Amino acid sequence: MNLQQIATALGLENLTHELSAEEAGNMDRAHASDLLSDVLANAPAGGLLITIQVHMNVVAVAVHAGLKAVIFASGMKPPEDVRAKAVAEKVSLFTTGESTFDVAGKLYEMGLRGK
Amino acid sequence: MPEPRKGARVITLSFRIAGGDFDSAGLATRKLKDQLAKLGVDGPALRRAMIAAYEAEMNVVIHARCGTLWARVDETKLDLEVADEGPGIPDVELAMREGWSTASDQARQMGFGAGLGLPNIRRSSDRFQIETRVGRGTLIKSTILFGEAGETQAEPVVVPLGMEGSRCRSCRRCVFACPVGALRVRDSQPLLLDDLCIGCTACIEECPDAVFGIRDSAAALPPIPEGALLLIPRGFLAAFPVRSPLRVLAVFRDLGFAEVRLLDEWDESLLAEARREARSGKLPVPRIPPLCPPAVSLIESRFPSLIPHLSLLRSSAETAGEEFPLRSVFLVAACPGQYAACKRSSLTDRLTVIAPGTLKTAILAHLGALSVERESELIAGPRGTPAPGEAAASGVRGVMRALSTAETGALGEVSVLDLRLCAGGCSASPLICPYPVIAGPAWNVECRGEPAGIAARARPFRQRPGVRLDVDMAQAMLKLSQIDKEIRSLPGRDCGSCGAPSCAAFAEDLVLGRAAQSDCPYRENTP
Repeated sequence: MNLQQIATALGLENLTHELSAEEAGNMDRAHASDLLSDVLANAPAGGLLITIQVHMNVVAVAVHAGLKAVIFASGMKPPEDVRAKAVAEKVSLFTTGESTFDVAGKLYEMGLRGK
Repeated sequence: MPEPRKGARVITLSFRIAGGDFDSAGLATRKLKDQLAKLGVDGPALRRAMIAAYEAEMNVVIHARCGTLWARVDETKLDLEVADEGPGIPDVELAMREGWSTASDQARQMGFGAGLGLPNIRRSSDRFQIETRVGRGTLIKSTILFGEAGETQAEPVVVPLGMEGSRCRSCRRCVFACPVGALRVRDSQPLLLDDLCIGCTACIEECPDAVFGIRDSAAALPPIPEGALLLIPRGFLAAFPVRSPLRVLAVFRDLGFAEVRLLDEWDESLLAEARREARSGKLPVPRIPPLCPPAVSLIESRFPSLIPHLSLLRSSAETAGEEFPLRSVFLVAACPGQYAACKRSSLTDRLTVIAPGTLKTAILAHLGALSVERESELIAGPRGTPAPGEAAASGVRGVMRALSTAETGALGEVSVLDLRLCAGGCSASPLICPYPVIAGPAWNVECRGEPAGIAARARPFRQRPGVRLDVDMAQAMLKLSQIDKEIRSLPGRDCGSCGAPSCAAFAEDLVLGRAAQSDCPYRENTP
C-alpha cells in the first residue's frame, strides 16, 4: 500500500502536493506519538508518523528517524515554513480531523504495524 | 578544541548551538548528517548517530544558554562531544532515568522534555559519558561505532602469557593452580593450551620460580608524549619501596605523565550500572559487571549458563583506555587477560597498553633522583564495600565458589556480584603489587578527575568452545570415545605426575597426541 492509497482510504488532506505520494513507495510501518524523543528512538525508518505536534522540530525528527510521511491528527495544521521545510526534506505531510487513536486504528486495520 | 592528528584520515566538525532557539533546533545535527552521509555512513549507525546528536543538541536548546556540537569522524567511528554553558545537572543518575526532566512548559508542549533524551543518547552510543558542573554546564560524549568494525577487524590476540621455560623446575604447582586446566608440564617445560587460557594470574601467583608474566610487546617504556595520561590500578601506587603515594605520583610526573587516574574508578562506574540494571527488574540477577576480563572468560568457558547475568559492557580497563580518544593514554594492565582485552578492543592508536614490569623498571630508575614531594590531587576516600544485597568474591577459589553457587540459583536475591580473579582485585595482582597487604583498603586514595564512564559492548558475550577435539565432527566423536576408554585405564588419582592436572585431562592429552603413555607411572594396561 502506498501513501496515495492510504490518503485516499482515510480521506486525508495532502499538504505537500509538491511531493508525489506514490513515489514514497510501499508503506507498512507507522508510529503514533507526540513525544519527539520517543519518535526518534522508536519510529520505524521508512514509515509514517501520526502526531498532533505541528512545529518545525517534527520535520527535523522525521528526517533523522528516516520517516517518509507525517499525518497530523485532530485537525492540526503546521505553519507554512514547516510545510516548506518538509517539502525541501521530501517528507510528505497530511492532515485529518480524526484523532490519533482513530487514524492509528484504521491504519492497523489496513495492515500497517509498529516496529 | 583539540586538533586531530596530522595526516590521519580524520575529519573534525563543529557547530554552534543557541539555547532557547527552538526554530533552529536540529540544524547542527542536520549538518552533521549531511557530512556523515557524504562519508558513506549509513544504516543503523547513522540513525544512532542522529539520535545521539539530536538529543544532545535539543538538551542545549532546552536547558542551556549556548553550546557546541563537536564531531570527530574516522573510518571506524564517530566521536561526538556536545558541551554547553548552562545550569548543569545536580543529580546525573536521576537525569539518566527515563521520564525525569526539568524542561520548561514550552519545551514540554512541543513534545520535548519527556525525560527520554539522555537515556536515548546512552542507548544509541557504543560509549557514553556525561560530565557536568552545577552552574557551569554539561559535556556529553558519545561514540558510535560504524558496524562492528572496531571489534571484528581486530586480529584475535593470543593471550599474552609469557613463559621463561628455562626457570621451570617441574614442580607442577601451576598445573593445579590453573582454574581452566590450561597448563601442563612436559619435558621439564610448562606447556600452555592457548585456547583454554583465560589470562588470569593464578599461575603467575603460584609459581615459585617466576616462570610466568605478561609478554609485553614493548621491551621498554616508549617515549611519553606531552599531556599523556596514565591509567593504573590503585595498588600500583604501593608497588615501590616508597611508602607514600604522593611520592610515587611525583615520579609519574617526572617521567612525563601529565595526569594519573585510577582504574578503580571505572570499576565503580560499572558497578553503578550493574546496580541500575538490577533495579530495572528486567534482567536476571545477580548482575555481574565485567570488571575482570579473566573472570568473564571463566564464565564464558566454564559457566555459560551465567552469561545472561553479565552486563553487556566493556571491561573497566577497556572503557578507561578508550575514554580519552584525543589524548595519549598509557594503561598498566594487571594481568594477561586485561592486557589482551585492552589491546583487542582499542579503537585508537593513542592507547599504549603496558605490562606493569615495564613501567616499574622505569620508575625504580627515577626514584633515587626524586627529592620533592609535590602537592597532588590525591584525596582519601573509602573504597566501596559491597552494598546491602550485593556480594563480592575474589581469588580463583572465591570466584569459582561464587559462580558455582550462582549457577544453582542459590544466590537468590543478590543483586550485583563483584568478581575479581586476583585475590584482592587488580591492585593485588602479583604483577602489580608485591605487598598486597597494603595494596587494598589500607592504601586508600583516589585520584580526583572527571566522572568515569561506561561503554557498551558491540558484541554479546558468547560461550567459549575451548579446545575442539577435531575440526571434523565424526573424528571428534571418535576421539571422545577414545578419551573415555583411556580414562578407564588410568588410576584416577589426579596425582599430576604426568604433568596434567587430572587423569581426565591426561586422557585427552593422550588422544590428542600431547602426551605419551609412558608419562603416567601408574597406568594399568600398557598396550
